[in-house]
Amino acid sequence: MKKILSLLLAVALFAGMLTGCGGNSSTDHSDKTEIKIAISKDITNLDPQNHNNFVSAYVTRHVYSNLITLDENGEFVGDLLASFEYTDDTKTALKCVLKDGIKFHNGEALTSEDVKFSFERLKTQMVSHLIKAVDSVEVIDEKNFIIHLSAPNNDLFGCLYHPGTAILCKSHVEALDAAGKSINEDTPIGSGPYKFVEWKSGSSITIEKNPDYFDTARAAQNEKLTFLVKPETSARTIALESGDVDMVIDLSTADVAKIEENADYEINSTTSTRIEFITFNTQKAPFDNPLVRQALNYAINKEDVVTVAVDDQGAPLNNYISPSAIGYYEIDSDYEYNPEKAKELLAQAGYTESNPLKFDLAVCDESNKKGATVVQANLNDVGVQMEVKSMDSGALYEDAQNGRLDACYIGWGSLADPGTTYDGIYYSTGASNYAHYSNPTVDALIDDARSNTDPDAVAKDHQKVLQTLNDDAMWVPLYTKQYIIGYHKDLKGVHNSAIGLHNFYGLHY
Amino acid sequence: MYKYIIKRLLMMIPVIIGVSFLVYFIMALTPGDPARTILGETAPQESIDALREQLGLNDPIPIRYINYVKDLLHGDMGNSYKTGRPVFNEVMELYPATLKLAFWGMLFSVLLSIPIGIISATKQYSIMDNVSMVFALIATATPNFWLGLMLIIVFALNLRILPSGGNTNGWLSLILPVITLGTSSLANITRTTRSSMLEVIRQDYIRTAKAKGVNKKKVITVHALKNALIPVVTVIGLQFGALLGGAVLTETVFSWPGMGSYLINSIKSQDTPAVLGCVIVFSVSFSLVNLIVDILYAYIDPRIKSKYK
Repeated sequence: MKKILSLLLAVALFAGMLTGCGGNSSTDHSDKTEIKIAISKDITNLDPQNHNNFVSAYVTRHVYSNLITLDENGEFVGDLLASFEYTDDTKTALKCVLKDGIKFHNGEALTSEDVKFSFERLKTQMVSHLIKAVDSVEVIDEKNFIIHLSAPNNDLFGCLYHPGTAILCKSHVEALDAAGKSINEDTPIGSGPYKFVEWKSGSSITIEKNPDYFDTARAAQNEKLTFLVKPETSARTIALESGDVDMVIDLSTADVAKIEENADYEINSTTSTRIEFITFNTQKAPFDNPLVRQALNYAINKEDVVTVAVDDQGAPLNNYISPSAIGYYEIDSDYEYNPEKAKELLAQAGYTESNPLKFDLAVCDESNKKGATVVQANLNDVGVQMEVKSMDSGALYEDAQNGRLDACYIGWGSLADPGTTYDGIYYSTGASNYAHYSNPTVDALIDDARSNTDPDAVAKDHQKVLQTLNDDAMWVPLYTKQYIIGYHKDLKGVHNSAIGLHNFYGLHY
Repeated sequence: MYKYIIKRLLMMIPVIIGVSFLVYFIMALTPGDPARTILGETAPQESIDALREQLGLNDPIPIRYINYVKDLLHGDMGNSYKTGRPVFNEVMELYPATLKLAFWGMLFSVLLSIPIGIISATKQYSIMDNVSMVFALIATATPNFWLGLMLIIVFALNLRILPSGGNTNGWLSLILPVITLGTSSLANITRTTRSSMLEVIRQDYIRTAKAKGVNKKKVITVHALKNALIPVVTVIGLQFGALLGGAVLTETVFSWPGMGSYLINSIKSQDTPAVLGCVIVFSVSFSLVNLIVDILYAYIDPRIKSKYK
């Protein structure tokens, strides 16, 4: 028996030694032309007009091209377009000229007719809201066309950068329609830096370099990109450390320190446009009282929340939009952690030790659940009795939209057009205005910012909106999140977009 | 026998309809809007409303279910809300991977557990018996995801002899998921084999065989094992069914492109047609495995065969 026990102990010790050893990768990658990237979810659609998620966009925006893109300075520049300018003062006609020599992957030339077709098709597809301002596309000749707007719209460029407004190959899509097939059931044909190779559902997506790509500055610097679907966070990190992948998108915040300690790997972390906040139902007591909302803004120690929720991979926020987002403006905010001030405001609102404020905070995201424990402790210190209510995300958003929740701890990621944020979450009828906040002054400012042709006036409108929201304490803004990419130290050309639309064409060893 | 098989196969139709009815209504009554989940937080209300109309979500739930069953009876499982692709095609793309993992997981379990169970029973209270029972207890108590991660750390990260996940490296990709998945079944089958064998080897006919001087090995393998196999085959059948539907954690840890991960993602995005497609395929598989087990009973025990009419 003793021998058996010794043997078992020896095996356990050996296994312990193996698990304790650190991974070490010193392989020479200089000849490597295929880059493997771990992603957290499978893509949902290869038709850019029928998805609205980043993971699918990783693929579609490299297979297709948009009219406009964002350069490294955050300026809108032509992608397919050689030039674009408004032809009138009212900014309702955008004259566009296509670049020379643009070809689809099937060899056909990309023309104005393809642009017109793509926009007309988009009107009946999933992300039709992107071109709700577009009235029509007037084709002048093969390379010249005019986008006519029903009214001036300052979000147009941002929308034309969105992966959903990518330009499709008219003849290919019409042939698919005639055959009763969707783009998903065939090889997608775009004009982007990569050609589609294959999609193994739930496993991987492969795209390869398009040798005929029209823009040498943004041509693929690798031969092939393979996205490997790895839903489990630890599995993604291990895949990087074991050399199974070259890069991990959405590296777990808990694994950042471990990767940083390993000399073979590097981290690229950028402040994203994604923010987390606590939103209240401002139409119902007790949160219809601004004093209560202001009190909670003083009661929460945002630095502690960042530490617990995202392992310090974020920054406390005292604004209603991320500093990385287009449409961000500085505001005057004095909501610093001040429990005494919070108690004072609560007392003014009628809440005391004998009559404490009580409410439920709904959460669905795992990191937010952790952050909610800090919020609960902070509020308890000022005499507020808050219960954390863990919910499924679908149920939470439905209840929030229908005004059935007291408060919820959720997030928001701004896109390239400020209108999505301002119209979506601050406007009284916004689809994601979970605070049910209704302020005619704010609505009027947003209406003006959407169509005012003077950029300075738009900036002033946006800044006033943010300041009003802060003064009204519509939410408790908590923190901005980081987009974290882990990659092998020899890998060059890593791009980390604050919006989440990362470019992979520059990756190479 | 054939009549029995046909009867059992026909009985699967009400099972499928019953399962689809339950799952459809549970999914439909679950709070949340699939259109909002699919379109994401930044989509405006008009796009959400348009998608709801397109997916037929504005119809009353019973009408939606009747339409679904009508299509199902024509062999159409509908299109996934999320991808717009036919659910049948999506499920059939993933089913082979799940079946492959479950089959090899089961084979791994059976090949190890039956010999260990027999040795444990024939050498009751020996060191071998104690060690295998302790091992069985540990294997039952070990969470799948933990074992999977430990195997990845040892064999993929440190030894670098096996891939950390996915299904892109041929049979090498199978080794770690199969060990992870098979370990919990291994323990159950070992314990069942042992207890069943212990019961059988105490029977009079075994004592008689031994008294007549029949070779001990022959007594175990020919006389005892066949009679001890009925409960073991039952457990194997149930475990195989469980492996088909319950490989979610293993599939997630090893990024295995099977139906488990697909089902979980579909539930999260409230993709009812995709969830139903998976559940129906699992139900049919489970029913078929049970049928095979019942047929095997007849071959193991002729007394049961006479009852199959």
